[in-house]
Amino acid sequence: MTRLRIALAKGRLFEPAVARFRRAGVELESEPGRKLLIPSSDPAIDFLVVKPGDVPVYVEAGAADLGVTGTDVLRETNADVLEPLDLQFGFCRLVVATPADAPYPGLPGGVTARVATKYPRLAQAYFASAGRPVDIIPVGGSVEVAPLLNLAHWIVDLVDTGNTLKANGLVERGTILECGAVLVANRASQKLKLDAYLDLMERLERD
Amino acid sequence: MVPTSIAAIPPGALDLSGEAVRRRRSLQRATMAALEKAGYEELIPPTFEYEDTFVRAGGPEIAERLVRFPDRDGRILALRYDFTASLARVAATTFADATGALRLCYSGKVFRQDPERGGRPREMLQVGAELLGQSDLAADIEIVRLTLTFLSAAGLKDFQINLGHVGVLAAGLAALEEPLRADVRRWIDRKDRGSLREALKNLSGDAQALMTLPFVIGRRDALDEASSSAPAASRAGLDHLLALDAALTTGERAHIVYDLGEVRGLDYYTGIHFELYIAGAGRAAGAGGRYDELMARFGRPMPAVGVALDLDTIAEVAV
Repeated sequence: MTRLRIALAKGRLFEPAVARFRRAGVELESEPGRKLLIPSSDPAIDFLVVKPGDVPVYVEAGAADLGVTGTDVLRETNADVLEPLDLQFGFCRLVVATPADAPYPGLPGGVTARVATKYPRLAQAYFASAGRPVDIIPVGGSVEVAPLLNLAHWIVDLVDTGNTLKANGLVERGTILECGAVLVANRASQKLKLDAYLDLMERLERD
Repeated sequence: MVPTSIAAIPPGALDLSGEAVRRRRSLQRATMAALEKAGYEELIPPTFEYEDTFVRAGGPEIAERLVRFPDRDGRILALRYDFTASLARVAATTFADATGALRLCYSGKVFRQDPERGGRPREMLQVGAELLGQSDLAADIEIVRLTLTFLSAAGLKDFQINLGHVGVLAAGLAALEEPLRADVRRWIDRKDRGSLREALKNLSGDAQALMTLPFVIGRRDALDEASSSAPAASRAGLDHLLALDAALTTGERAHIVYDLGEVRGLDYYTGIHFELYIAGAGRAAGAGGRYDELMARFGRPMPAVGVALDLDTIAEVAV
């Protein structure tokens, strides 16, 4: 029997991903707790639950055959994987935001803007392509407080409803990327486990 | 000079010892013996060349993956990115007067970097072969068969060669205007059927075939089925694959999967192209195909077909 291992991201994409697989007839057998691998109702499929940023890494290396990830982390990691299916959930935007009273797109006196973000590559590419030099400050979380704490002038972060930005006195200044959840697949696994891959794709596409 | 620890190594450098070395050497011996038996002559090209030599052979997209350093006169050198570039240069110069086909082979390290993944190995062990001066189906079959021989000689059983032909998708892609063509190529490369369907739904003619042909993957019957509905411009490529299939034995055929959906090599390959996949490896363990335009870039137009195997990947899974 050909086994498929599917990497799911903890956090905001987890529940909708589980629901999508449930509709395709693949049900997780238990809640993700301390267990790394979760079997499913389909004996040929099990799930691996990892940090969102790690899904592309697991799939590119072949530690998982398939995965569900946001295009935000996928483009940031630039992983070389297949993207066979747009899953139509988890929509959000990667934006530049600043305190409401902060000058944008330039700071007075020729000061170079510091930009805090969890997406240093995408942020750097965005400002570089516009010919605007900035100082990218990579951080692991709590990006929206960086301007309050004087760590950065601006931030680049993911926005869903915009409530978090508003609560921190920030306003959107530009959109870098429209994001959403996608199914990704390892390039070698798609070929070596073709029948199992096609069967699962067919069930997911029927949605 | 800044004092460094004796233990320090540059990122991506490898120390191999023990079983890791024995596995690689035994693979190398088995494959080189198979090549010698098939009449391929080994070349040992330089470990470094002018960077232009590699870019001339591989195209501008390999430039950022070269490991470079300046020569004493300021010209830029690069560590061997691949053997094909050096072999093409040698075939066009040293062997310029040779008549008939040239069968050349090699084994050794190539040096490549991936700037976005700093910690990955920057050197890998390759073995490969080039058959120059022969443009017929027999030459393609010889290289595919040689690849199968290597893997059997290495003791591998669970492997497959995914084989395609650039002519199959060329007409459909040529029917598109930029920037749509680049988008379509990217969606084919990602196997993103939904985006393709959306972009192509209002188009007609050869472009329509791009909805189905890239997803053709399977044995001879998949090719037959594709042939029955493919546009005339794709027929020659499909017929070539069918003729190749007819020439193989049942045992050889068991390892071949026809796969019309790979578009990465379209700017490099001119005929058949293939990748090697081994159970347990998360990426291709070798690649090959026909590149009839390569030798002209070195001033001596002649057809060429070849294969290179990644012995590190094979050694790591073939335990």
